[in-house]
Amino acid sequence: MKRYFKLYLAFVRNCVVREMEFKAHFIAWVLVNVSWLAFTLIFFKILYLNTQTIAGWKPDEMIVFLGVVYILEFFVWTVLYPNMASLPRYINRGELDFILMKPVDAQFFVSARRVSPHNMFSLVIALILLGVGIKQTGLTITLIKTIPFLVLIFGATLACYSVWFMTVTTAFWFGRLGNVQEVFASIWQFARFPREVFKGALRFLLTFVFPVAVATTFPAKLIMGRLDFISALFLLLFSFLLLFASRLFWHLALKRYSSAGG
Amino acid sequence: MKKYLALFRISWQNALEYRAESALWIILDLIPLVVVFFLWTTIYADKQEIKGFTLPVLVTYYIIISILANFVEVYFDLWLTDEIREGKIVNFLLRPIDFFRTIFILESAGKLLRTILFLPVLFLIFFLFKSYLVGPQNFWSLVIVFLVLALGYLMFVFVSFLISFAAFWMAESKSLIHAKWIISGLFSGSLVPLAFLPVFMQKIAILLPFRYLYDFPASIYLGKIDGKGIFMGIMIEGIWILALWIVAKKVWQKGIRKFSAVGG
Repeated sequence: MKRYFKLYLAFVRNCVVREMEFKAHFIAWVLVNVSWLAFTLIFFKILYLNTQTIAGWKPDEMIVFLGVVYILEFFVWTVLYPNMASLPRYINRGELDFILMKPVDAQFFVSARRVSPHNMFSLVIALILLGVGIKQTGLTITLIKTIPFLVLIFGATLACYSVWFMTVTTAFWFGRLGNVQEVFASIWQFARFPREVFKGALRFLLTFVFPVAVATTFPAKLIMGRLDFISALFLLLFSFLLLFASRLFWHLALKRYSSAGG
Repeated sequence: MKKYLALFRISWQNALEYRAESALWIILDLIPLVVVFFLWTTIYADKQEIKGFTLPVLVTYYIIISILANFVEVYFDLWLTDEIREGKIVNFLLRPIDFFRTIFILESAGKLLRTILFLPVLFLIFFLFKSYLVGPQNFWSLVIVFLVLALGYLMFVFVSFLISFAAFWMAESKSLIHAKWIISGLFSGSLVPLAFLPVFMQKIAILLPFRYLYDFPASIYLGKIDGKGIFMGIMIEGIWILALWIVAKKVWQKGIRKFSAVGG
């Protein structure tokens, strides 16, 4: 386990150093991140000019929600996306064979090798948004309260990773599609709004199939003190179930891949 | 003429190779429509009308936006920026066709395929949102919308050319593409109808050409602009296209001169 952690640090260092070599590049991307934040805030400002609440969320509460969204965005685009986008390439270019020969678990390598520092600044933005939102809503945050929050964030990222990895594993069958990783990436757009906005079958889909809505909404509700224990437990247990499922599916895909002589 | 047809045929075959990806993108691009539909439905829960838009009219507006997006969005700046930066642009210079026309033909082939692939999705949208759809003002509005659409696309192509050409001088010009998306997103009407923007932003929107991509054609469809307004709009749009074309050509010549001087 420790070995994998050290390996991961090496991956991160390798990717980050490569990106940071060019200061202008780094600064340009910080500006891009900030610009998209401004875009998002302008959008919500326009919405709130025309309504008191959005699905029961007041403006100050929405800032807290956005803070949680940005934490997840950091994980989605910095930690997960570069790897998800690489798997179809590994498969199509035969690079997967070299990866399978390495003395490391293949699913770990494929999932963790790349880090995209472009969106690292999202984490800073997240903390600022959370700080401002919590202050404005007058919530009190104690150290004890942050532990369940971090646990839920962990569960949320695990759930997103697992489902995303499963959709990308289909590249073994639909390899010709170079953009199979975009399915989950596009569905992620639903996560940028509270789950209460979406109703009916869509809400079911976004909770139990592609749990992106619970990934952002549940941790945010936890901060607000509005999350019941059952929901929190659900997210955690479901995320482990999904991880297990992703591993099963991965092994299934690999078996088929090797038996085809590949 | 033959060389244009030949290039179009090659571009078409190239586009066909990626038809599965294009089809997937068309479906994924519907997600923003679903998001705004639910978002505005919940906002309209306790009111009938916002800034002159009832919910059905606003939903129709966003449906029009989603349809227009298939025709009006331009993505060649994503790869052209890399080609210029990596010097691969030399391939285009060696061809017997003017650079601008080459890119234009490539784009047209892609757009044609996208249009064909989009047709079944169009029926799906009509079926799903039947109860919300508001009809066009009249038949002529539809015709004018198509005209304005074509002009808007042309305008956006030249804007994208300019953004790509920045790569001749800037290493980080990819970030300008994000600037294009953000600014056009805010001031074209694709995020919200321009009528929903704060007044100072509406004033900026009138000075920029992006409103001709979405807000202007959608407003024509919904009958929110009178004949004089439409005429004036098209005139200004024409002037924008002319100006952008001239600037793009000049910048291209300067860029190529710099490119050739360095190593060529």
